[in-house]
Amino acid sequence: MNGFRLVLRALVTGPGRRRPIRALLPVVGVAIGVAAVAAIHHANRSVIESFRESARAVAGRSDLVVVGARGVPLDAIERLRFLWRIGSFAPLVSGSAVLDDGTGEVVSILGTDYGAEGAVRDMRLVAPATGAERARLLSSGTVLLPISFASRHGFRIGSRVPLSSGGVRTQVTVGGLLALSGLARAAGGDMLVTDLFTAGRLVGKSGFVDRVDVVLDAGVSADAARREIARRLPPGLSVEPAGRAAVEAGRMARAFRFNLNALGSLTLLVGMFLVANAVSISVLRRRPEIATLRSLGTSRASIFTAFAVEGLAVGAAGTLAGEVGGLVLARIALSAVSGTVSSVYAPAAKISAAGFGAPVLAAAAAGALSSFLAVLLPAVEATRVSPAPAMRPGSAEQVRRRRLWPRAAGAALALVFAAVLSRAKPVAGFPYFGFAAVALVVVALALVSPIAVRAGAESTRLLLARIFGPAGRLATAFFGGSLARNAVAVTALAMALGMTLAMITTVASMRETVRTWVESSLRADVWVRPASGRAGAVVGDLPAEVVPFLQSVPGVAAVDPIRVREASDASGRALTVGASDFRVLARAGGAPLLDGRDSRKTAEAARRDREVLVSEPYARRFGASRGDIASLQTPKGLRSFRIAGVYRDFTSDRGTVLLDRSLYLDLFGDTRVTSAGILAREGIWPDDLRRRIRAAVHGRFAVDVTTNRELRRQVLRIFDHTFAVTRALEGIAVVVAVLGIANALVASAVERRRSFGLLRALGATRRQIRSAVLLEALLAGGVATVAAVAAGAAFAALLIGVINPQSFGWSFVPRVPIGRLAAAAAFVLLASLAAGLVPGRIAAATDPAAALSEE
Amino acid sequence: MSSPGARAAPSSAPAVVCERVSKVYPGARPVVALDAIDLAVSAGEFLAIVGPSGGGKSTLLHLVAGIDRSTSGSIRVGGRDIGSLPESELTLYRRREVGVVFQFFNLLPHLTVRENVELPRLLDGKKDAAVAARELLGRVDLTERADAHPYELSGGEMQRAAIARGLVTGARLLLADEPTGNLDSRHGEQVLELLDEVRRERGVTLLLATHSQPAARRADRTVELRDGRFS
Repeated sequence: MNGFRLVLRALVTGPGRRRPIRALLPVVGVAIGVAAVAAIHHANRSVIESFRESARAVAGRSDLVVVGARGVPLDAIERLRFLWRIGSFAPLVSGSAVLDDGTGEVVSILGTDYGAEGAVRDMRLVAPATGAERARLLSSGTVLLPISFASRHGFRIGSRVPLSSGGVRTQVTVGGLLALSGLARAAGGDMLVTDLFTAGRLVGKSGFVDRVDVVLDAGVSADAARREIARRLPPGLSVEPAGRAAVEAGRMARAFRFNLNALGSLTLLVGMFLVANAVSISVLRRRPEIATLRSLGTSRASIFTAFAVEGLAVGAAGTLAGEVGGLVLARIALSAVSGTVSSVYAPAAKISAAGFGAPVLAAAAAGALSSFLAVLLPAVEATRVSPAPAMRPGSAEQVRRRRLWPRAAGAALALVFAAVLSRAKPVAGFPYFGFAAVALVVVALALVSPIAVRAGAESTRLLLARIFGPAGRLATAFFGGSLARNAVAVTALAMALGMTLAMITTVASMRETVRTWVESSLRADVWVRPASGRAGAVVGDLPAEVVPFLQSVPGVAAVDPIRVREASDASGRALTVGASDFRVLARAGGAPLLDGRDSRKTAEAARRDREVLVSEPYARRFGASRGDIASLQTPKGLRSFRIAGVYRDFTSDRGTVLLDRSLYLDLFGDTRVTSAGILAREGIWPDDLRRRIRAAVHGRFAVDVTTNRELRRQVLRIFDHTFAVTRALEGIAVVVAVLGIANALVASAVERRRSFGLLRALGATRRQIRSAVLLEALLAGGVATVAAVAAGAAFAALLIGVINPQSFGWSFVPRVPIGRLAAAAAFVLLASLAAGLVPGRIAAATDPAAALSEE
Repeated sequence: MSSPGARAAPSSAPAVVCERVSKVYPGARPVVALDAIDLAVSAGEFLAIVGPSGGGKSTLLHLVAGIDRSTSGSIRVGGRDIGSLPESELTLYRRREVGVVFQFFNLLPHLTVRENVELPRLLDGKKDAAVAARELLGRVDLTERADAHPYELSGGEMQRAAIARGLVTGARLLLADEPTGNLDSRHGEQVLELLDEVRRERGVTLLLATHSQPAARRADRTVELRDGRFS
């Protein structure tokens, strides 16, 4: 044991105490990676947890939930009365409205049966206190507000709350204040609770509730109760386990979370490479000491254990520091993420910070594991070499040089496997093989990096020597000479930049495809939607009477009442059902068909034959194509339709079945409208028509009226807004990777102190040394950029051709935005140059006498 | 053992003159490495500096090489007080006027032997670095090993490469700090032989710090440095 302590002191604690800055560098590397992982994980988790928390608050203690294709009709609730013998049940109406107090904030509206509510959900009234005052709560138009929400908006008991809801402006009265617990935690507490009738009126769901939650008494079999409920329910209604709603809620904004996950994984990978980089450097630096100890008879196991201990210690220290940095970074990431989620995906969703426990643990695991893995290979390698040659300077590089060609073969093999995997089908709608192919490209990149470093050094040797003289020659020698160190740094940067270039290409392709799609699908001249305040997404819906009203406005040629709502297929799989007047579609076009046929004629035929159109995501998700059958759960029971065509659609990744409005009304009996597309009469300008409609609806309907041009702009603005977070995350990954380059160069400058001292002794000026280090940094950035372009092309091909279509069902026309790609590459080159400033200064300041005295 | 400057030098003009040179390393307990020493070395002279480890031999060579500065006293090389030179001129001095051979060779591991030898001349912007290096590598019998990296050489070969590097700028002053300390006796003897030969051929002044008595015997003159003073 004493012997091992000495080994540990010789290899780990001794050098660490003597050169604390050197010891700190790998810790900084770990800390950067861990901070990024913690922040991304936290933001991601906050989104999921907020959705689930809200769903749990609504589900309460329920064991089962009754739902229907068009909600649950009030008369069907009568059939559930038998449940009082074995438990209790409570209906719920939900929707959202815009607060008309100038904030434009979106609030959730929940309507409950106060009498039945207590058995299912907790709701604690903090005011009013007396029974007499509480009785007034039952009067219509009275709402309960969570106390935090009320105080933020200055509402008290008796206050009138102005709302735009269901296409009309209205006011409700605050009757009581709720403690922020139980049901009041839904939508992060930004909500109001009212009776079923008031809620139904506000959100336009009179005669229906959205769900009925069932709580069973202890000892009652849930399966038996479920069977019994199902037996008594009319067609179109179903009973499900309550947990399913929470799971479904967690699936919201799947595309967005996918985005975050992909980028979070990228940052994690970059972080792991940084850790590997930092720890490998510290191991490689001590090869002579290892060799000395080996020559003195130290066992391989002791040396390995010493490095394992160091890896874990570095991991622990870096993780601790990284967690602190992660807390700061997490606030920034969360603020960006929550803004996008609530403005784009779910207007009423409020994203609040989740606990830091899980992200802290995940980041700690990533830090510790990657430190340990990073230390594993160099430690094993170091314990295997024979002591004598290892004591010579440069021996680490010699080891690397011998292994370059097997690496090239390995990289080629990885790419072949990646190509094979990219052809595999998704598993349960998830592109696992696509991701495996991305991972294999990363492996190929890591394997090929040392070759790229050497090739970069050799190909630029003469050029840099000619332009920069000795500094250029030294730079290529340093760069090509430190293969092990530079290859890891270059891999990390190439991976981050490659993924960034791929995302830029993917987003540009998506944007261009969406722009073209918007032009071909949004054909109406003017659009009318419910007032949505600050939200980018549609809030609530419009009453049926808005359609004849709009038709009566002078200048209106036709109105297409569009309806979008959630539904399910024969197997209960969630999808979107859309309804549109196919006569308008046949006249104006829209719904561009993938097979290039004329959507007007198809719409006309589909209306006549009672067929449906399905969106591209539906076709991919359900493996359906033209001529196949699509099934839908309707209030009249399960119905099947022949698919008349597949159209391009980016509004939903769940897949949409589009029906003619007459067919929809027949099956669903739902006359409400999500939005309305309006065609102008010949000779009427859209701006003019918009003015006329605005004047006509004033004081009657609370709606937003936009021209087609404005709506197209809005769609693209939302698109850009959504991907702003992506860009921010890409930025983090690239900055982390550039910091990795800086870290590697600082470590390198500290490690090569003796070489720099010698250069100074031989007459090199400080400027020459500084220039050499800066050029080395530029070389690292340059080689990483070249590698990133190749890797980025592979990543982009996988994202556009495999992962996106398999995840969301969307296909894009590839587009390469040369300007933006060049700007990103130029930024990385400049950042790499900047990363060389500090190490350059350290190297130039080396005192030759002191450096040469170190043996 | 003769006293410094007492024995006649091969040439009358002094190449190196140290006057009351001291070097103190600061710290909680300051270490006096050199204590007011005087030394004169004539141009073309081969001076061996012997003495125990820690006696101040390497410190003296570092001061004369211009890679460290004395605490007090003056060091004149070719009549110029190198202690008073600004940093930029001291750099040029190191680059052009002095060559150093170290005990641990100090070749840059990532450069080839040829590049190591070319380097000092390249730092000075000389176009003929490759020609000069080729000539010197031939002289030290390393032509065949020119494209090897230092870690591929034997100790003797590395030291020969270091000697070639020390001479490549055409410096008239060569400082060798324990050049055989890391070599076996056969390779050590070969290196000493080479140093002596090239010194004579090129009229170089050679200051050799060594523990080795056979090495010291080759010198024109020997001085002993103990506890920072000549004894």
